[in-house]
Amino acid sequence: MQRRKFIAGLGSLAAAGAAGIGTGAFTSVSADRSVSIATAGDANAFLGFTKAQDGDGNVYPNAQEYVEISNGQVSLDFTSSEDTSGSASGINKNAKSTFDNLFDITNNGTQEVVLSVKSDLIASQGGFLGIYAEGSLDDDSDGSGLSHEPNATGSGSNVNTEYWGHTTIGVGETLENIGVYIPEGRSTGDISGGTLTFIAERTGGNQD
Amino acid sequence: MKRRRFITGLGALAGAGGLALGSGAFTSVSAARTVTVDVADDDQAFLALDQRGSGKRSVTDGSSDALSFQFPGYDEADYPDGRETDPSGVGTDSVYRFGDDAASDQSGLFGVTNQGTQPVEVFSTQQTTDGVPSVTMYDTEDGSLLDEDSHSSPLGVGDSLSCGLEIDTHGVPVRADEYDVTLTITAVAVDGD
Repeated sequence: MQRRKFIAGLGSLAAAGAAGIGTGAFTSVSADRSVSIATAGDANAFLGFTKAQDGDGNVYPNAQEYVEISNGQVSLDFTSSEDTSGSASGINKNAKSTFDNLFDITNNGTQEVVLSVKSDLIASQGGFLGIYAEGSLDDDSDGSGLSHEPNATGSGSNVNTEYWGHTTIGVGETLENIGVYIPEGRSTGDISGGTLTFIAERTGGNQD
Repeated sequence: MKRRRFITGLGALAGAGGLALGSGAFTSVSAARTVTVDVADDDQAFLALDQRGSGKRSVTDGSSDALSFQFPGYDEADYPDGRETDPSGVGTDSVYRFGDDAASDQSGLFGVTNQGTQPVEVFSTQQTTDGVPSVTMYDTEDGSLLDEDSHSSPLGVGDSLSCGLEIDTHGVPVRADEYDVTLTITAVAVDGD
Protein backbone atom coordinates (compact mmCIF):
# COMPACT_ATOMS: atom_id res chain seq x y z
CA MET A 1 0.00 0.00 0.00
CA GLN A 2 2.84 2.30 0.81
CA ARG A 3 4.38 1.65 -2.54
CA ARG A 4 1.17 2.38 -4.29
CA LYS A 5 1.04 5.72 -2.60
CA PHE A 6 4.63 6.38 -3.68
CA ILE A 7 3.81 5.58 -7.25
CA ALA A 8 0.83 7.81 -7.08
CA GLY A 9 3.16 10.52 -5.85
CA LEU A 10 5.47 10.03 -8.81
CA GLY A 11 2.52 10.24 -11.06
CA SER A 12 1.44 13.56 -9.76
CA LEU A 13 5.00 14.90 -9.88
CA ALA A 14 5.16 14.06 -13.56
CA ALA A 15 1.79 15.63 -13.98
CA ALA A 16 3.14 18.86 -12.51
CA GLY A 17 6.01 18.75 -14.97
CA ALA A 18 3.68 18.23 -17.84
CA ALA A 19 1.54 21.08 -16.65
CA GLY A 20 4.65 23.25 -16.61
CA ILE A 21 5.34 22.51 -20.24
CA GLY A 22 1.70 22.91 -20.96
CA THR A 23 1.60 26.49 -19.74
CA GLY A 24 2.68 27.42 -23.23
CA ALA A 25 -0.89 26.49 -23.93
CA PHE A 26 0.15 25.40 -27.35
CA THR A 27 3.53 24.74 -28.83
CA SER A 28 2.32 24.33 -32.31
CA VAL A 29 -0.94 24.05 -34.08
CA SER A 30 -1.43 22.77 -37.57
CA ALA A 31 -4.89 23.19 -39.00
CA ASP A 32 -5.99 21.77 -42.34
CA ARG A 33 -8.48 23.95 -44.14
CA SER A 34 -10.07 23.41 -47.50
CA VAL A 35 -9.70 25.76 -50.41
CA SER A 36 -11.94 25.35 -53.41
CA ILE A 37 -10.74 27.04 -56.57
CA ALA A 38 -12.65 27.34 -59.79
CA THR A 39 -10.69 27.92 -62.96
CA ALA A 40 -12.05 29.78 -65.95
CA GLY A 41 -11.03 30.44 -69.49
CA ASP A 42 -9.47 33.84 -70.00
CA ALA A 43 -12.77 35.34 -71.13
CA ASN A 44 -14.54 34.75 -67.83
CA ALA A 45 -11.75 34.94 -65.28
CA PHE A 46 -11.43 37.56 -62.57
CA LEU A 47 -9.16 39.34 -65.02
CA GLY A 48 -10.80 38.62 -68.34
CA PHE A 49 -9.04 38.56 -71.72
CA THR A 50 -11.17 38.57 -74.86
CA LYS A 51 -10.67 39.27 -78.54
CA ALA A 52 -11.20 42.96 -79.21
CA GLN A 53 -14.75 43.80 -80.29
CA ASP A 54 -16.37 46.90 -81.68
CA GLY A 55 -19.41 48.52 -80.09
CA ASP A 56 -21.73 46.07 -81.82
CA GLY A 57 -19.95 43.03 -80.50
CA ASN A 58 -18.16 42.21 -83.75
CA VAL A 59 -14.64 40.92 -83.35
CA TYR A 60 -12.19 43.21 -85.15
CA PRO A 61 -10.33 41.69 -88.10
CA ASN A 62 -6.95 42.04 -86.40
CA ALA A 63 -8.27 40.19 -83.36
CA GLN A 64 -9.64 37.51 -85.64
CA GLU A 65 -6.33 37.11 -87.40
CA TYR A 66 -3.70 37.48 -84.73
CA VAL A 67 -5.36 36.50 -81.45
CA GLU A 68 -5.56 32.81 -80.70
CA ILE A 69 -7.54 31.21 -77.92
CA SER A 70 -6.36 27.77 -76.94
CA ASN A 71 -7.59 25.89 -73.88
CA GLY A 72 -9.17 29.10 -72.71
CA GLN A 73 -5.89 30.97 -72.91
CA VAL A 74 -5.30 33.97 -75.13
CA SER A 75 -2.13 34.30 -77.17
CA LEU A 76 -0.89 36.47 -80.01
CA ASP A 77 0.36 34.95 -83.21
CA PHE A 78 1.96 37.09 -85.92
CA THR A 79 3.23 34.17 -87.92
CA SER A 80 1.30 32.61 -90.74
CA SER A 81 -2.24 32.50 -89.44
CA GLU A 82 -5.03 31.03 -91.46
CA ASP A 83 -8.06 32.43 -89.71
CA THR A 84 -8.79 34.86 -92.53
CA SER A 85 -8.12 34.85 -96.21
CA GLY A 86 -5.02 36.56 -97.51
CA SER A 87 -2.97 35.71 -94.48
CA ALA A 88 0.54 37.03 -94.44
CA SER A 89 3.38 34.96 -93.11
CA GLY A 90 5.25 37.54 -91.10
CA ILE A 91 6.20 41.10 -90.34
CA ASN A 92 7.73 43.46 -92.92
CA LYS A 93 11.40 44.24 -92.66
CA ASN A 94 12.41 47.86 -92.11
CA ALA A 95 8.91 49.05 -91.45
CA LYS A 96 6.88 50.05 -88.48
CA SER A 97 4.12 47.53 -88.04
CA THR A 98 1.13 48.42 -85.90
CA PHE A 99 -1.56 45.98 -84.84
CA ASP A 100 -4.53 47.77 -83.33
CA ASN A 101 -7.59 46.25 -81.72
CA LEU A 102 -6.20 42.90 -80.69
CA PHE A 103 -7.78 42.16 -77.35
CA ASP A 104 -9.73 43.62 -74.45
CA ILE A 105 -9.10 43.18 -70.74
CA THR A 106 -12.03 43.26 -68.32
CA ASN A 107 -11.87 43.71 -64.58
CA ASN A 108 -14.29 41.10 -63.21
CA GLY A 109 -13.03 41.61 -59.68
CA THR A 110 -14.53 43.75 -56.97
CA GLN A 111 -11.93 46.49 -56.80
CA GLU A 112 -10.43 49.01 -59.16
CA VAL A 113 -7.09 47.81 -60.52
CA VAL A 114 -4.05 49.33 -62.15
CA LEU A 115 -2.90 47.36 -65.18
CA SER A 116 0.60 47.24 -66.61
CA VAL A 117 2.61 44.77 -68.65
CA LYS A 118 5.96 43.28 -67.85
CA SER A 119 7.86 41.49 -70.58
CA ASP A 120 11.29 41.06 -72.09
CA LEU A 121 9.58 41.69 -75.41
CA ILE A 122 8.72 45.31 -74.66
CA ALA A 123 11.11 47.89 -76.05
CA SER A 124 11.42 49.91 -72.84
CA GLN A 125 12.30 46.70 -71.02
CA GLY A 126 14.96 45.64 -73.50
CA GLY A 127 12.80 44.06 -76.17
CA PHE A 128 11.49 45.22 -79.50
CA LEU A 129 7.78 45.96 -79.34
CA GLY A 130 5.41 48.48 -77.87
CA ILE A 131 2.05 47.73 -76.27
CA TYR A 132 -0.74 50.23 -75.73
CA ALA A 133 -4.46 50.46 -75.17
CA GLU A 134 -7.30 52.43 -76.67
CA GLY A 135 -5.22 54.04 -79.39
CA SER A 136 -7.00 55.25 -82.47
CA LEU A 137 -6.83 52.96 -85.43
CA ASP A 138 -3.40 53.01 -87.03
CA ASP A 139 -2.13 55.48 -84.49
CA ASP A 140 -0.48 54.37 -81.30
CA SER A 141 0.59 57.89 -80.36
CA ASP A 142 -2.46 58.61 -78.24
CA GLY A 143 -2.72 55.21 -76.67
CA SER A 144 -1.78 54.60 -73.08
CA GLY A 145 1.49 52.74 -72.96
CA LEU A 146 1.37 49.63 -70.82
CA SER A 147 4.99 49.02 -70.00
CA HIS A 148 5.68 48.00 -66.45
CA GLU A 149 8.98 49.80 -66.23
CA PRO A 150 10.30 51.43 -63.08
CA ASN A 151 10.50 55.18 -63.17
CA ALA A 152 14.05 56.13 -64.03
CA THR A 153 14.38 58.60 -61.17
CA GLY A 154 16.49 57.66 -58.18
CA SER A 155 18.97 54.86 -57.84
CA GLY A 156 20.06 52.16 -55.44
CA SER A 157 17.87 52.05 -52.35
CA ASN A 158 16.30 55.36 -53.40
CA VAL A 159 15.00 54.01 -56.68
CA ASN A 160 11.51 55.22 -57.32
CA THR A 161 9.26 52.22 -57.40
CA GLU A 162 6.49 54.05 -59.18
CA TYR A 163 5.77 52.61 -62.58
CA TRP A 164 4.78 54.55 -65.64
CA GLY A 165 2.79 53.20 -68.51
CA HIS A 166 -0.10 51.77 -66.58
CA THR A 167 -3.79 52.38 -66.77
CA THR A 168 -6.66 52.05 -64.35
CA ILE A 169 -9.61 49.71 -64.94
CA GLY A 170 -12.70 50.20 -62.79
CA VAL A 171 -14.83 47.33 -61.52
CA GLY A 172 -16.68 45.74 -64.42
CA GLU A 173 -14.94 48.01 -66.90
CA THR A 174 -13.04 46.92 -69.98
CA LEU A 175 -9.75 48.26 -71.25
CA GLU A 176 -10.38 48.13 -74.95
CA ASN A 177 -8.40 47.63 -78.07
CA ILE A 178 -5.02 46.70 -76.78
CA GLY A 179 -2.56 46.68 -79.61
CA VAL A 180 1.13 46.23 -80.25
CA TYR A 181 3.56 47.83 -82.65
CA ILE A 182 7.05 47.04 -83.78
CA PRO A 183 9.12 50.14 -84.49
CA GLU A 184 11.02 50.57 -87.72
CA GLY A 185 14.67 49.69 -87.66
CA ARG A 186 14.41 46.43 -85.80
CA SER A 187 16.45 43.70 -87.39
CA THR A 188 14.82 40.34 -87.75
CA GLY A 189 17.28 39.02 -85.21
CA ASP A 190 15.67 41.21 -82.55
CA ILE A 191 12.28 39.73 -83.09
CA SER A 192 11.21 36.59 -81.33
CA GLY A 193 8.33 35.19 -79.40
CA GLY A 194 7.93 35.33 -75.67
CA THR A 195 5.57 36.01 -72.82
CA LEU A 196 3.66 39.12 -71.87
CA THR A 197 2.84 39.26 -68.16
CA PHE A 198 -0.19 41.41 -67.36
CA ILE A 199 -0.16 42.78 -63.86
CA ALA A 200 -3.39 44.05 -62.33
CA GLU A 201 -3.03 45.45 -58.85
CA ARG A 202 -5.67 46.98 -56.68
CA THR A 203 -5.39 50.75 -56.73
CA GLY A 204 -2.83 51.72 -54.14
CA GLY A 205 -1.01 48.42 -54.40
CA ASN A 206 -1.81 44.88 -53.52
CA GLN A 207 -1.52 45.40 -49.81
CA ASP A 208 -3.49 47.38 -47.31
CA MET B 1 -12.03 26.57 -17.54
CA LYS B 2 -11.76 24.64 -20.73
CA ARG B 3 -8.04 25.13 -20.90
CA ARG B 4 -7.56 24.03 -17.32
CA ARG B 5 -9.35 20.80 -18.09
CA PHE B 6 -7.13 20.20 -21.07
CA ILE B 7 -3.96 20.72 -19.03
CA THR B 8 -5.15 18.41 -16.30
CA GLY B 9 -5.74 15.78 -18.92
CA LEU B 10 -2.18 16.13 -20.13
CA GLY B 11 -0.92 15.72 -16.62
CA ALA B 12 -2.71 12.44 -16.21
CA LEU B 13 -1.14 11.16 -19.40
CA ALA B 14 2.35 12.04 -18.21
CA GLY B 15 1.50 10.40 -14.92
CA ALA B 16 0.98 7.13 -16.72
CA GLY B 17 4.46 7.49 -18.14
CA GLY B 18 5.87 7.95 -14.66
CA LEU B 19 4.21 4.77 -13.56
CA ALA B 20 5.93 2.78 -16.26
CA LEU B 21 9.35 4.13 -15.33
CA GLY B 22 8.78 3.43 -11.68
CA SER B 23 7.99 -0.24 -12.23
CA GLY B 24 10.57 -2.03 -10.18
CA ALA B 25 8.20 -4.16 -8.16
CA PHE B 26 5.58 -5.29 -10.53
CA THR B 27 5.62 -6.58 -14.03
CA SER B 28 3.08 -4.46 -15.67
CA VAL B 29 0.42 -1.99 -14.97
CA SER B 30 -2.08 -0.85 -17.39
CA ALA B 31 -3.74 2.27 -16.15
CA ALA B 32 -6.37 4.00 -18.13
CA ARG B 33 -6.43 7.73 -17.72
CA THR B 34 -8.75 10.15 -19.29
CA VAL B 35 -7.59 12.89 -21.56
CA THR B 36 -10.08 15.62 -22.06
CA VAL B 37 -9.69 17.62 -25.19
CA ASP B 38 -12.18 20.18 -26.21
CA VAL B 39 -12.50 20.96 -29.86
CA ALA B 40 -13.38 24.57 -30.35
CA ASP B 41 -14.83 26.46 -33.25
CA ASP B 42 -12.10 28.09 -35.29
CA ASP B 43 -12.78 31.53 -33.89
CA GLN B 44 -12.47 30.24 -30.32
CA ALA B 45 -9.47 27.94 -30.70
CA PHE B 46 -5.94 28.41 -29.36
CA LEU B 47 -5.06 29.52 -32.85
CA ALA B 48 -8.17 31.41 -33.81
CA LEU B 49 -9.05 31.59 -37.49
CA ASP B 50 -11.82 33.97 -38.40
CA GLN B 51 -13.43 34.90 -41.68
CA ARG B 52 -13.67 38.52 -42.68
CA GLY B 53 -15.93 40.60 -44.85
CA SER B 54 -18.81 39.23 -46.87
CA GLY B 55 -19.10 37.59 -50.25
CA LYS B 56 -18.06 34.26 -48.79
CA ARG B 57 -14.64 33.75 -50.26
CA SER B 58 -13.92 32.72 -46.70
CA VAL B 59 -16.56 31.12 -44.52
CA THR B 60 -16.68 29.32 -41.22
CA ASP B 61 -18.94 26.38 -41.59
CA GLY B 62 -19.56 22.86 -40.39
CA SER B 63 -19.32 21.14 -37.03
CA SER B 64 -17.36 22.40 -35.28
CA ASP B 65 -17.09 25.56 -37.31
CA ALA B 66 -13.99 25.38 -39.50
CA LEU B 67 -12.75 28.01 -41.91
CA SER B 68 -12.88 27.24 -45.61
CA PHE B 69 -12.32 29.21 -48.78
CA GLN B 70 -13.92 29.39 -52.22
CA PHE B 71 -12.82 31.32 -55.26
CA PRO B 72 -15.01 32.85 -56.55
CA GLY B 73 -16.94 33.31 -53.33
CA TYR B 74 -20.46 31.88 -53.00
CA ASP B 75 -21.93 35.36 -53.31
CA GLU B 76 -19.28 36.81 -55.59
CA ALA B 77 -21.89 37.75 -58.22
CA ASP B 78 -23.66 40.04 -55.72
CA TYR B 79 -20.67 42.34 -55.35
CA PRO B 80 -19.67 45.10 -55.50
CA ASP B 81 -23.05 46.67 -54.89
CA GLY B 82 -24.42 48.25 -58.04
CA ARG B 83 -21.49 47.17 -60.22
CA GLU B 84 -21.76 43.43 -59.81
CA THR B 85 -19.27 41.26 -61.64
CA ASP B 86 -19.58 37.54 -62.07
CA PRO B 87 -16.21 35.92 -62.67
CA SER B 88 -16.22 32.17 -63.31
CA GLY B 89 -12.84 31.53 -61.77
CA VAL B 90 -9.16 32.27 -61.85
CA GLY B 91 -7.31 32.16 -65.14
CA THR B 92 -4.57 29.67 -65.88
CA ASP B 93 -0.84 30.50 -65.82
CA SER B 94 -1.52 33.33 -63.41
CA VAL B 95 -0.78 34.39 -59.87
CA TYR B 96 -3.79 35.75 -58.04
CA ARG B 97 -3.88 37.33 -54.63
CA PHE B 98 -7.07 37.57 -52.63
CA GLY B 99 -6.55 39.92 -49.72
CA ASP B 100 -10.18 40.75 -49.02
CA ASP B 101 -13.56 39.21 -49.32
CA ALA B 102 -15.70 40.21 -52.32
CA ALA B 103 -17.12 43.01 -50.21
CA SER B 104 -15.26 44.12 -47.18
CA ASP B 105 -14.67 47.11 -45.00
CA GLN B 106 -12.25 44.95 -43.09
CA SER B 107 -8.68 44.36 -44.11
CA GLY B 108 -7.75 40.78 -44.88
CA LEU B 109 -9.51 37.73 -46.24
CA PHE B 110 -9.20 36.05 -42.85
CA GLY B 111 -7.61 36.72 -39.52
CA VAL B 112 -5.28 34.62 -37.39
CA THR B 113 -5.26 35.40 -33.67
CA ASN B 114 -2.89 33.96 -31.09
CA GLN B 115 -5.04 32.91 -28.14
CA GLY B 116 -2.24 30.93 -26.53
CA THR B 117 0.19 32.27 -23.98
CA GLN B 118 3.39 32.67 -25.95
CA PRO B 119 4.35 34.33 -29.23
CA VAL B 120 3.99 32.18 -32.35
CA GLU B 121 5.05 32.32 -35.97
CA VAL B 122 2.40 31.50 -38.53
CA PHE B 123 2.71 30.02 -42.01
CA SER B 124 0.95 27.73 -44.45
CA THR B 125 1.91 24.61 -46.36
CA GLN B 126 0.23 22.49 -48.98
CA GLN B 127 0.88 18.79 -49.26
CA THR B 128 0.70 18.48 -52.99
CA THR B 129 0.78 21.19 -55.63
CA ASP B 130 1.20 18.82 -58.54
CA GLY B 131 -1.27 19.75 -61.25
CA VAL B 132 -3.42 21.76 -58.83
CA PRO B 133 -3.34 25.42 -57.88
CA SER B 134 -0.62 26.26 -55.41
CA VAL B 135 -2.01 28.19 -52.44
CA THR B 136 0.05 30.19 -49.96
CA MET B 137 -0.91 32.51 -47.12
CA TYR B 138 0.40 36.06 -47.15
CA ASP B 139 0.44 38.97 -44.76
CA THR B 140 -1.84 41.64 -46.20
CA GLU B 141 -0.05 44.37 -44.24
CA ASP B 142 3.30 43.96 -45.97
CA GLY B 143 2.53 41.50 -48.75
CA SER B 144 5.07 38.91 -47.59
CA LEU B 145 4.37 35.27 -48.36
CA LEU B 146 4.15 33.04 -45.29
CA ASP B 147 5.45 29.59 -46.12
CA GLU B 148 7.65 26.92 -44.61
CA ASP B 149 10.81 28.89 -45.36
CA SER B 150 9.43 32.28 -44.44
CA HIS B 151 7.24 32.41 -41.35
CA SER B 152 5.40 35.47 -40.14
CA SER B 153 7.14 37.70 -37.64
CA PRO B 154 6.27 36.60 -34.09
CA LEU B 155 2.61 37.11 -33.33
CA GLY B 156 2.23 38.24 -29.72
CA VAL B 157 -0.32 36.81 -27.33
CA GLY B 158 -3.71 38.17 -28.25
CA ASP B 159 -2.42 39.71 -31.47
CA SER B 160 -4.01 39.16 -34.86
CA LEU B 161 -2.54 38.83 -38.31
CA SER B 162 -4.49 39.94 -41.33
CA CYS B 163 -4.05 37.31 -44.05
CA GLY B 164 -4.82 36.72 -47.69
CA LEU B 165 -4.25 33.80 -50.05
CA GLU B 166 -2.03 33.73 -53.11
CA ILE B 167 -3.10 31.26 -55.78
CA ASP B 168 -0.64 30.26 -58.47
CA THR B 169 -2.18 28.51 -61.47
CA HIS B 170 0.94 28.04 -63.59
CA GLY B 171 0.66 24.69 -65.34
CA VAL B 172 -2.87 24.20 -64.03
CA PRO B 173 -5.33 23.51 -66.84
CA VAL B 174 -8.73 25.13 -66.96
CA ARG B 175 -11.40 22.56 -66.18
CA ALA B 176 -15.09 22.48 -65.42
CA ASP B 177 -14.74 21.02 -61.92
CA GLU B 178 -13.34 23.06 -59.12
CA TYR B 179 -9.95 22.21 -57.67
CA ASP B 180 -10.23 21.25 -54.01
CA VAL B 181 -6.95 21.61 -52.16
CA THR B 182 -6.07 21.46 -48.49
CA LEU B 183 -4.13 24.30 -46.96
CA THR B 184 -2.38 23.57 -43.69
CA ILE B 185 -2.11 26.62 -41.45
CA THR B 186 0.57 26.17 -38.79
CA ALA B 187 1.53 28.22 -35.76
CA VAL B 188 4.75 27.40 -33.93
CA ALA B 189 5.93 28.87 -30.65
CA VAL B 190 8.88 31.15 -31.24
CA ASP B 191 11.25 29.44 -28.81
CA GLY B 192 10.26 26.04 -30.15
CA ASP B 193 9.23 24.53 -26.79
